[in-house]
Amino acid sequence: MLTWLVLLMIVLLLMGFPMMVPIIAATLFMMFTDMTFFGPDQGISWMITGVSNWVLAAVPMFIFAADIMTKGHTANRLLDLVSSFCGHLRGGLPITTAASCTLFGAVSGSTQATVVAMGGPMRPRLLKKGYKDSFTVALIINASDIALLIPPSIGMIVYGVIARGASIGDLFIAGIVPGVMILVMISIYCYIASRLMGIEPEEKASWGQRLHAFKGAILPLGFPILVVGGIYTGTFSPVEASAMAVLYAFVLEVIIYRKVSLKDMGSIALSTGMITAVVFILVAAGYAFSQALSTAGIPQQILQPIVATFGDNPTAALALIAVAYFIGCMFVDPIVVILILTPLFAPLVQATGLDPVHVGVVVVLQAAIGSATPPFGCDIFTAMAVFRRPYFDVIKGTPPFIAILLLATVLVILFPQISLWLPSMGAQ
Amino acid sequence: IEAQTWRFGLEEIEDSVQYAYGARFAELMDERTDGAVTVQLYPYGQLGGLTDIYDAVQSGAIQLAFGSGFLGGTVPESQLFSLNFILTEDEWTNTQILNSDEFLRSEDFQDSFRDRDLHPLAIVPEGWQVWTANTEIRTPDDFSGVAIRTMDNRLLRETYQAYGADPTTMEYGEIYSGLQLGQIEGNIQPVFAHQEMSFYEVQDYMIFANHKEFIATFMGNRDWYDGLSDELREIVHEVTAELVEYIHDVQQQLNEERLDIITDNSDIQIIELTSDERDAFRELSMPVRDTFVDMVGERGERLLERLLELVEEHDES
Amino acid sequence: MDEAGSGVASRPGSGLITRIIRRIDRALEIAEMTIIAGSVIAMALIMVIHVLGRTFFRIGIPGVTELTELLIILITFVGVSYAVRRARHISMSALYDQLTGMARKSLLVVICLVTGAMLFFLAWEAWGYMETIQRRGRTTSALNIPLWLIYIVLPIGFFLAGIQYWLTALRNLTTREMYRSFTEKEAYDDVPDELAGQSVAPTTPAEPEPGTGENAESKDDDATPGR
Ligand code: NA
Ligand code: NA
Repeated sequence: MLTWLVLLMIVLLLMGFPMMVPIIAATLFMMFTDMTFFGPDQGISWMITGVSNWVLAAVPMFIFAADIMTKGHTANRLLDLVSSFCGHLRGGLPITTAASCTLFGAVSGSTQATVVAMGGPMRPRLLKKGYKDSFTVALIINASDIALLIPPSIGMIVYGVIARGASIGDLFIAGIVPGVMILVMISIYCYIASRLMGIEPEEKASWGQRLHAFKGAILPLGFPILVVGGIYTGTFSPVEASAMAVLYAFVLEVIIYRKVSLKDMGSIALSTGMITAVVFILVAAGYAFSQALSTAGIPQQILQPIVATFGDNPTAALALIAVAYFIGCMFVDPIVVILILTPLFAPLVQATGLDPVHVGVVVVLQAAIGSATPPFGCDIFTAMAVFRRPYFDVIKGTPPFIAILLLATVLVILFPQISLWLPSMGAQ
Repeated sequence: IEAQTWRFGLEEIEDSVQYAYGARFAELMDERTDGAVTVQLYPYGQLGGLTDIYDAVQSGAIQLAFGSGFLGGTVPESQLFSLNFILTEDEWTNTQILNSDEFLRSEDFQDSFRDRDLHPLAIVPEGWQVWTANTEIRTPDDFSGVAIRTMDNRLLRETYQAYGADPTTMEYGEIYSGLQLGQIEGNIQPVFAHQEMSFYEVQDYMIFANHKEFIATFMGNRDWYDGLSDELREIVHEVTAELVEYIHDVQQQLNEERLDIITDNSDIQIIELTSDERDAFRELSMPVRDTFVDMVGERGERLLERLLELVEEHDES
Repeated sequence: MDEAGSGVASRPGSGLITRIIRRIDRALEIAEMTIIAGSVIAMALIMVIHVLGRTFFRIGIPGVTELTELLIILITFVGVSYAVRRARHISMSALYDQLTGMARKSLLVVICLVTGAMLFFLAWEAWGYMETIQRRGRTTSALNIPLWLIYIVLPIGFFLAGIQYWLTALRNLTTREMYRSFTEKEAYDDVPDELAGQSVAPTTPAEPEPGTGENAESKDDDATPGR
């Protein structure tokens, strides 16, 4: 029966059905074949429970804030700032792109928003400078994925909602060092790549220009301070921070910069709500699916031999978890993968005594890599749509980046301090 | 007796009062029916959220479940247990009163559940609700301006407003950091929860006002219950009656153990309010009873009166 | 709300029935847009007021978590239908993208019909669930809001989403072009072919200047939603 279930999901997925269909169909399949003792009415109840979680409100709020900033001045002011400091380095333009994506990641919870806000303006500049398009597109999608590790992060929020014992505040802080580490690794690659491509650096910006750029960016730089500082000082919770980010974006773009009008807010809210719905219907369906699986006793069945094998080897267990998420994210949306695999692996995490925060960072990192990895990583399709490039052009330049991120994964797994050091500082 | 499996949804995880109850219930049912009835336990999380558990037992997908503080949306009359100072100061007495034929088997209590496709089988008090705070609280004045976390529930909100505190709502998972960072300054939980979630680590005083017990109702699906054979129904009654004392002892022991852990691992100060001190709070809590009646209606009012009568009878005797 | 009106709209036949369908469809679309955008803005307002109120006046909004959760339900299940109109549901289109002509169109029609049917089934089940919750009189615990008033968006949202999928199938069966939703043509197929091979030239229509951010806006509508 389990074989049929897996087969059904794979076939529907490969045929190109909307992602909710394979998940819901599999859930109904379990109900109609009596694999679980629940009927479809409980499925509806579970779908509601899946999204009736106040912590999830952070997702639309961070997207809302990012959408306001993408429409306004914030994105480009951050870009100008980074560019004035990094532009003159060898590989300066791609390094600027990567660093700007990281910085924008600190004001935005969504990689999608980062691709649009940073990749949009940077790609033509990179192409004009003579960088290959395959390199450019791969750079943008992989650098945007750093946004997943830098707080605020929607991936971290969804993981934190599901995983017991991992506070979202700690997860947020834990992602910072690995995120910056990956930025450095990508920058080194950019340096080498531009050497190989024989591209000369830009003119160095004067200190006057830098000061000007810094002044322009000073208000947008208040975002990370507001979000991380507000959570850390206890002024508000991570969820409330997301609403404060909306307030800040509104004040900045509508009242101070006047780039976004009050009238624009309606259409921005609509687009935010739609993106949220597209993700949340999967959260709802994914929750119903994982509950059906759980009441059918399937996770226990699969996990028993795994726990028996890896129960006393945390590093091997974490590597196994990483591989599972990586493969999952190559095929379906990372949110769905986190939703389905996290409860599945919970007993293994518990048995090995792994720190759920450490696991969370590894998981989100895998979500970032897997979603930029062929065949079906969803970032590839985002890039195809945003940049209107054919599939193979988009994936051509990704292998070096994937190698970098896999190296980062190995480091994060082997050295838990990379993720746990910063949160442990806060606890003292 | 026909072989059958009953599924039992718990609101708590393993190593809890509800789990102990479920495990013993399963054991006794197995014993009394010569293995015909198997009771399968589903600790919290396995069936989804709390409302999923209530849905499951209401629809009959599972036969048995516990319902406590969050049950008010499903069985409004159960909010009676949110009111303060309606029970005696003795836990064993309270347990007996609540499980007496005059209360548990009263038409009003039974109908409150049966109207919602449920059938109440037993009432399980899990121990006193205890206040914690960073200031010493003995009088309503001490409560003034203290941001105390309550469940998001109108009766609790009004109660703590009446005491002069600033009741604040916060998700259960956020309480620890909320206390640590000072978003909230006080908290209300049964002893075992203070320990389980380490809340005591970030609080200075633990105040026993004995104002309210944490009360769960053991309930079955109505149609399932009505479909039981007379023999089986009799066995269920016997077993639940037997479990009243059993679970009281378990509850007492568990909370004592947990309190020991708390006092061993922290400098938290334990305060027990005197009768006079309690009375000051009792006085202020009275108007909330009217709110309860407004919200729940006549049946709720009769239940409240019945309970108060039983408590008074006991105090006189 | 300019976004909804834009895109590659088409002019279908002008028969009376078609006109009525279009009228109703447009009215529903406006209702969906209002609910979705309104819920997002309301959610932001409620939380901001709650935080500011708590920080400065020590009074939060009672039931703030509950209200937020109800708004999430509204956004999710009303949005499910609206996202079909805008062809924004996430799917793994790798194999589909390799197909052309009749094969591609047939697969699209099959996907729309089957997805629509599944959504109608969910609408049916959700309606039953909503009725059950109404009969049992379940309310929210903080504000005692009858839950069926909120849960009714599930059957409605699923039903409207199913209709949108079937309308898309109908449109594809009755026209020669490919439609990714009832009103939007598939736009993304021809662009990459044209550009294949020109690896250096910028593909955005206007040469953007650093610091303007103008070009970031127009593309949003075509993007596959991420996380
Ligand atoms: Na981020
Ligand atoms: Na968590």
